Amino acid sequence: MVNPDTFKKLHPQEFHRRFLGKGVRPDGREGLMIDLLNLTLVTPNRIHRNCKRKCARSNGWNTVICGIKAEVAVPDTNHPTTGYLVPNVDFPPICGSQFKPTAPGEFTQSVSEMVYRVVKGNNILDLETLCIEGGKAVWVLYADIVFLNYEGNAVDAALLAFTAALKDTKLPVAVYSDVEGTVRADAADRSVSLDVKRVPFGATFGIFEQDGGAKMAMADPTDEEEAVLISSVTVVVDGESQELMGTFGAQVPIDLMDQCIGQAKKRATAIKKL
Amino acid sequence: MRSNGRTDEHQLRPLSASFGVLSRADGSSRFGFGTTEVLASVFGPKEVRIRDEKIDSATLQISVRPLNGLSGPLHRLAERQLRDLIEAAVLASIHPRSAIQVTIQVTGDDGCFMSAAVNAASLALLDAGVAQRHLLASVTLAFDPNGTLLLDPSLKELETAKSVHTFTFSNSNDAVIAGVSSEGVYSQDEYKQACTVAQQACATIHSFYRKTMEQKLAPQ
Amino acid sequence: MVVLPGDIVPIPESEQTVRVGPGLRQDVANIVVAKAGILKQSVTGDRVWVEGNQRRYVPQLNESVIGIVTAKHVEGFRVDIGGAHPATLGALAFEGATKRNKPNLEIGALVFARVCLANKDMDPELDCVNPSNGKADGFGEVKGGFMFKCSLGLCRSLLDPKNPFLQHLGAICPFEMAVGMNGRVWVDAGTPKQIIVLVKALLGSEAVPYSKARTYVKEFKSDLTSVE
Repeated sequence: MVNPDTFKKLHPQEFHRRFLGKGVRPDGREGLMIDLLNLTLVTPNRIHRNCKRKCARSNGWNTVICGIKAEVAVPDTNHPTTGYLVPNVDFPPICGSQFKPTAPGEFTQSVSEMVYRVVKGNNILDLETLCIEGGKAVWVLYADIVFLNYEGNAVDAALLAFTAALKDTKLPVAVYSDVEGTVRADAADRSVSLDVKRVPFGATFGIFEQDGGAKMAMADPTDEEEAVLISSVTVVVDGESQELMGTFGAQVPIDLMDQCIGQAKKRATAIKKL
Repeated sequence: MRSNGRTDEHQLRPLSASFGVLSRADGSSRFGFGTTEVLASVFGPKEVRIRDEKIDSATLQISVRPLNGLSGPLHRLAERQLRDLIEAAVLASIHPRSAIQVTIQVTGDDGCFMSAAVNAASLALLDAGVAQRHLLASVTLAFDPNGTLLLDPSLKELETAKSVHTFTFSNSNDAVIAGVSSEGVYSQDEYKQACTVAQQACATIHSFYRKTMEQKLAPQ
Repeated sequence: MVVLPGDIVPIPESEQTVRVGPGLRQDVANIVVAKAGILKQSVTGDRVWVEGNQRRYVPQLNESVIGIVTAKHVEGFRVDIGGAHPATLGALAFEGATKRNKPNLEIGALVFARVCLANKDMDPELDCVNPSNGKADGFGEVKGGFMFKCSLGLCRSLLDPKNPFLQHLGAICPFEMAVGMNGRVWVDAGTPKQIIVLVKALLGSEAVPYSKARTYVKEFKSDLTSVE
């Protein structure tokens, strides 16, 4: 009898295959399509001067923090009443040994871009509500999503942190002074909350190939599982309206994709309740 | 009236493809949807740096360069998606400890450059004689504000689109989506509709590939 | 018949085992095309393959190749044959070589050699002897002349005994040629000018059908025969 850990190192594919064949995941989670969500919403008492809201999310074993900073900027001349919402995802070396303190690599940039795709435009927030004075000053919301611990499935965790932080964000009342050409706002006064139109929740599934070529999906893959997957699927669903806000996938049979979308919708409803 | 004189919402722009456009590359191709055009080059299997080499398969090095400006996160995501598609298509295990370099250069962009890039890459790999499991064909679709599905949208149509979907299908099994990337706001039914139209459009593109290859290899 | 990767090839009718050649692979019960080209079948029906063209060489056992020496070691030489990995040519893999009498190839020398080991997991190995009789038979260092690179398809057609271009060109101007299946061809003739003209003619012959060979070669006659 081989030690399970040794077997896992030598034959990772076969190790996972044996578990999945019986409908169980190696780390104890039940089932393939239902995932246990362990969410902790943390709001620190101390709020930094520039940072409006912080929120830490634990998605299984991922720990992500999202800070939303509001600054004032001059709007684009083509869109004088539109503000900006700028997400950025960062993986500092603290979150995993595979990340080095160098410039963002392909992985980091592509996760950042996927989050940006979901967030851009007026889909989440009507950017006109961020206008302080048309043509002169608008709010820019910088959403810095930082991973403190990464164990697979970055996009879902990043979106959860972002959504929670955004809902929590309150801006001060800002007044544009024509005379001085500046904006005045009282940092201690946080009365204006954002009018969030949609709450995107991501559901990522790993596509695993069984013997004989049949493909199956497992929800929320961990780092280890990601290595033996042939591909993955991410479906982003709006918690309010059940509309889809993003579908990304590769090598997935059409009907399996439909199943994933169905599961993603259910999950969005479940998370929203939390 | 859509761009290129199209009247049908489910009509592709004129397709163009050519092989061997670069004399130094092992393989190269040009693919276009109307004025959106992409040039792809392939080098390999060739030497690889020791730190990049894999003992059981070729290392794929993919690079996407935009028409203008510097490449950014948008192109890193494009590279990652292209890598997922090419890794599944290329039989990399027959060339361990070597590198296959694919470079994409956008030479014209009136919308849908990502789909053109996938198609150009697939054809460049074909020109280079790299062993592949299947060929890839990709199309982009958009839903306009009225909810009408437009196939192969132009840049103007993309600006006002409610959602944009890029689908890729292989020529060996069209019940499997080789790749999908959607953004915007849409319903599951709209997604399904886009998927079905994309399937048919990709089949058209695969026929186009065959015809182009037949013309190239025709005895003089 | 033109085939593309992903196409399934019907297994030809034959009582013998059918050997699946380049450009095809076996996928469970089907023969699937892996490279684009023209599907060919041997007359006896026991071999199928795809006739395609590419520029990059992948070493195959028993093929003759032209390499460039890039390094010298005690046990042998490192030779670049244009593939993904450099090849090794043993110092004793020559006719009549002994420990005392080893060939002296300089870095940058051209060798015409035979691939004696080709495995996807190992660096390829070469030797300069004919395996059946242990003699050189044309293998070994190649001096003088000029080497040019071409596609693998052109190499194969230059090795075809029925190639009319070679006959017609040879009739105008005698020359020596060594064809490496790795996309490299070496040519030597009377004067440097003739060599250059011959190289141009050979490279251009790829696009010309055999039927037009005579007319094509005529264009080079004046350059090949002029005295300068």
